[in-house]
Amino acid sequence: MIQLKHISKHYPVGFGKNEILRDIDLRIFEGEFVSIMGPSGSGKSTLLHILGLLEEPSQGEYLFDGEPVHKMNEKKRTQLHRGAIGFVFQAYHLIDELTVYENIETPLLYKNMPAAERKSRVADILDRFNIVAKKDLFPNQLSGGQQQLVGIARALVGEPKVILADEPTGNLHSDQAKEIMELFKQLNEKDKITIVQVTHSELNATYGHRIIQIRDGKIA
Amino acid sequence: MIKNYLKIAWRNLWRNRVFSSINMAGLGIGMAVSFTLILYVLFQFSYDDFHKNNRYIYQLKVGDDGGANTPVPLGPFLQKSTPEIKEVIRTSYPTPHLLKVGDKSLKLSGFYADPTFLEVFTFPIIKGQAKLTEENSIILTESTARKLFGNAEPVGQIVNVDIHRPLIVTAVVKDPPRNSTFQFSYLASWALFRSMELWVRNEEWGNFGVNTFVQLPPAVDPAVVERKIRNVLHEQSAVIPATSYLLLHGMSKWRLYSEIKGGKITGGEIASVRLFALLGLGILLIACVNFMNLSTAQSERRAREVGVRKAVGANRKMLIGQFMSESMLLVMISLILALLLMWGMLPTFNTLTGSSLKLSQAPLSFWLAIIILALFTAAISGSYPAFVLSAFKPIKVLKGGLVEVRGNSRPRQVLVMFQFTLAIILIIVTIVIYRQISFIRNQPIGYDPKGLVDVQLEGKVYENYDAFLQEAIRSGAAVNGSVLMSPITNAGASMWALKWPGQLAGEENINFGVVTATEHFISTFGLTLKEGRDFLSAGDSLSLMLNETAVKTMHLKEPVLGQQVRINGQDRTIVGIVKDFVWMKSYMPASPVVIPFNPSWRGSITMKLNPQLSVSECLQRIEKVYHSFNPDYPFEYTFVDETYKRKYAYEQVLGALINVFATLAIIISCLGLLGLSVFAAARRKKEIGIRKVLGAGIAQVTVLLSKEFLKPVLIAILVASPIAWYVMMKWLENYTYRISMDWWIYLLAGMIAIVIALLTVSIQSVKAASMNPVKALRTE
Repeated sequence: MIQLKHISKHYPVGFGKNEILRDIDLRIFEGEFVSIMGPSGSGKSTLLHILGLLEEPSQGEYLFDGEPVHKMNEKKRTQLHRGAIGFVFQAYHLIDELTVYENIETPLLYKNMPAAERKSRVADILDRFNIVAKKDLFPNQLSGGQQQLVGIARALVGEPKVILADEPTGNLHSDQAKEIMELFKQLNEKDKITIVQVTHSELNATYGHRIIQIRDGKIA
Repeated sequence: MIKNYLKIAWRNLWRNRVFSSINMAGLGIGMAVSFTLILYVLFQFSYDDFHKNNRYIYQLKVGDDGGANTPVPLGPFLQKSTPEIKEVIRTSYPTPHLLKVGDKSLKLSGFYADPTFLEVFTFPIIKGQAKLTEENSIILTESTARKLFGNAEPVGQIVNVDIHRPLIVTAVVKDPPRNSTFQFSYLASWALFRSMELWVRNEEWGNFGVNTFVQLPPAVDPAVVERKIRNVLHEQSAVIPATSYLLLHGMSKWRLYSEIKGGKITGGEIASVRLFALLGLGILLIACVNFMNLSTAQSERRAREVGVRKAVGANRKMLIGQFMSESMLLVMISLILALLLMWGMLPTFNTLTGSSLKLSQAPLSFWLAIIILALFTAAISGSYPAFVLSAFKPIKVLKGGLVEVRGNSRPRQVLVMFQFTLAIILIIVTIVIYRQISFIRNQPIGYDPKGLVDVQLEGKVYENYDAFLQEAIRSGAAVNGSVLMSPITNAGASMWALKWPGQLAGEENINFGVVTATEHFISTFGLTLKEGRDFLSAGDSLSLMLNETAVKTMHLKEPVLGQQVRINGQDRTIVGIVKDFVWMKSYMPASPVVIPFNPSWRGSITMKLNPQLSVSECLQRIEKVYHSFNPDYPFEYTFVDETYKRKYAYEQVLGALINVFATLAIIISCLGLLGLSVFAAARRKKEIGIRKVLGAGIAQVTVLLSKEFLKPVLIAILVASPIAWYVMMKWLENYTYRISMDWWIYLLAGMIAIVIALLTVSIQSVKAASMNPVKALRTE
């Protein structure tokens, strides 16, 4: 489903450049659960951002479902972003001014979904995650685990093909982390959602089918 | 989507109540000011636009200066000789007359006009017939009719004008609106004017005393007509110099482009209209800057939200939409606030400017304008946060915890500088205008206006003016008096074709100001004689006084006294030379004035009140004397010093308005500064805490926090001073006697700005500096 060919990424630093990723070749198949691991600064988050269209590679080709992303115009790219990709962050990144319900609803708004459909989708997901009672609370009224649950609900509500998770349990204690990882596993197995996670934790990595090790911008 | 935007917008406003209210207060004030000025400007532009023929009506103006006075026979001549002209209307100058019905008598102002006046100038007729053909007919305005007849039917009734002249009311018209150049309480027929005034009957070309208007058919090019009639005056009468050519002054330009120089329409009121429009816009901009500053100051907090929204699929356009709807909501709330403020402020504005603007009577164009302006404000105010914030790269924001928005305080400082530049310019302008006004008001005017009272000569007082004066003196109320053609503060008459010994060719065209007077002119007014004597008695009927400038203009040889000057066909002997005195406005250069002894041109009497008695006592006594002559007339008088002061009403209004604007500009700027300092203190909480732990005192921290805001204000002083200097130099050029732009003015303005800015900032800085550092560090 995802194919990277000779992807590199570098930032200019002074007169030289700082290479983050070098010549990455990667295939991720539909329904896989992949964990990206590596030391700090190895480039794993950058790789995830490139996969999620939040950053553009300096060189190389990116195919999503066989379509060349690097040749897409802004509009198509946004469509792909909205329709096929869901993001989960380490710091949850919920919008403080919005309630749980509204946070989950936001991606649907950006997809210009009609109100009735929005309502039922959000209701479904609230139900599924057992957070109906919390729908009118604001993020600062929730625990970290609950916030991440909302974050995942928000990523899922748009029915993406792939979820990209950047250290989703990094800010959680182990019990909560376990819950979240179980949830990912379930999503992967039952809902056939492709999951790519960046993690430091060996334990979390075992939930996936495959581990990709990155060192100094290269797949090891 | 919009609903969602608004919901978020509302939550954000509520969450940042302090910033929001600062924003709204600033925008509200700024909008209220600019809306008021829009209303004022629209009112100025609406002058005379209610006349159906307004695009085809022209007033005939004469010569380089575009004088409004034209000779009586000009109108009929043009009507006959120029087929391109559809209609010609002559009017007299409005003068007050006594209107009496039964025992009700009122002194009201009106004028004489040609029969078809109301066909050309379409004041709506309520009842009766429009034509003013009959000599004994009079047309009343609605309010005049109500005052005289109450609810009774006025048409066909008789009104006694100046006691002896019964006129029949033939029509009632609506009152002229405020935006009408013609203001009158009644109209009388030209036929009556003719039968009353010899000079009108005489139809002299050389006597310029009436206004002439023409209406052209729509198809006719006014330039063609203008060319055709240009030299009519000189052609018809050789007495009139060729420099008195005719011009057409279109009705749409009467109000705003009333100044004519060198035969060209140059400007007029439009200058202050432009000034006001600029001021309104400037103050609104200052308020918009607050908005931008406060929104970008919060941008660090908002940046994360932007990142998240981008990550879940928002594109830039949507984010711009969101920020724009936020500013739109805020602007709409401010708009309501502004209208409320305006509603409260208008009465004061009206008193200040002598206008009568009402929100309830605002034209549609006003509402349209404010909606456009509100949208424009929202767009400007929202643009900076919308475009800057929406451009954030989401990963930068999402990677770390806190976001550093670099270089962010620079544009904010530039904006603060911009605000203060405008504010300081306004402060300097205020100081200069105030100084100039007090300067010209304290200019020596050449006579002593204190205790001088003008009374118009009417009825029996007109006929027996000398007896009236003697009675008044005998009553102890007045110590002296002299009869003039019009009050000295309003003496605008002029004359040419004078002859004097040693006159050069062409000098007969020189214009001389004319002030006619009778006995005791010098002593009544307290003028200074340079040579010779005052008028002493009726035996001076062929005497003349000159002012110093007139002597210079005539380049008379010494001894000047005793020489003969020919005025109006009479040889008069110079008996006195008066030092120059102000008889128009003191910022006019001294002009040559001739003062013939001439009681037959009398219009008003000026009396010096007895300084031994109180003013009210004097006036009571004079009133008694007046009523013994004129029992039916109300006793009316004006104080010369008050009338003189009123001549500077324009400057005074300008000064007062600019003062208000400057104050508001500073208030708005300070609101913004306050917001920024609140924000800065919050942002640097940790820094302050650390510094205090390291031993910094309150004073040091306060200085640290205030310094950031001082720099833009200092730069603003440097930027504002030359701009203000240039603007005020231009303005001062209107005045012959003017103040100099001393360096201390800039210093004072700068000090005012700095002190106010520091006070504003320090409120917050001191608060932040006095906080317990442990608290600050714990929150991190």
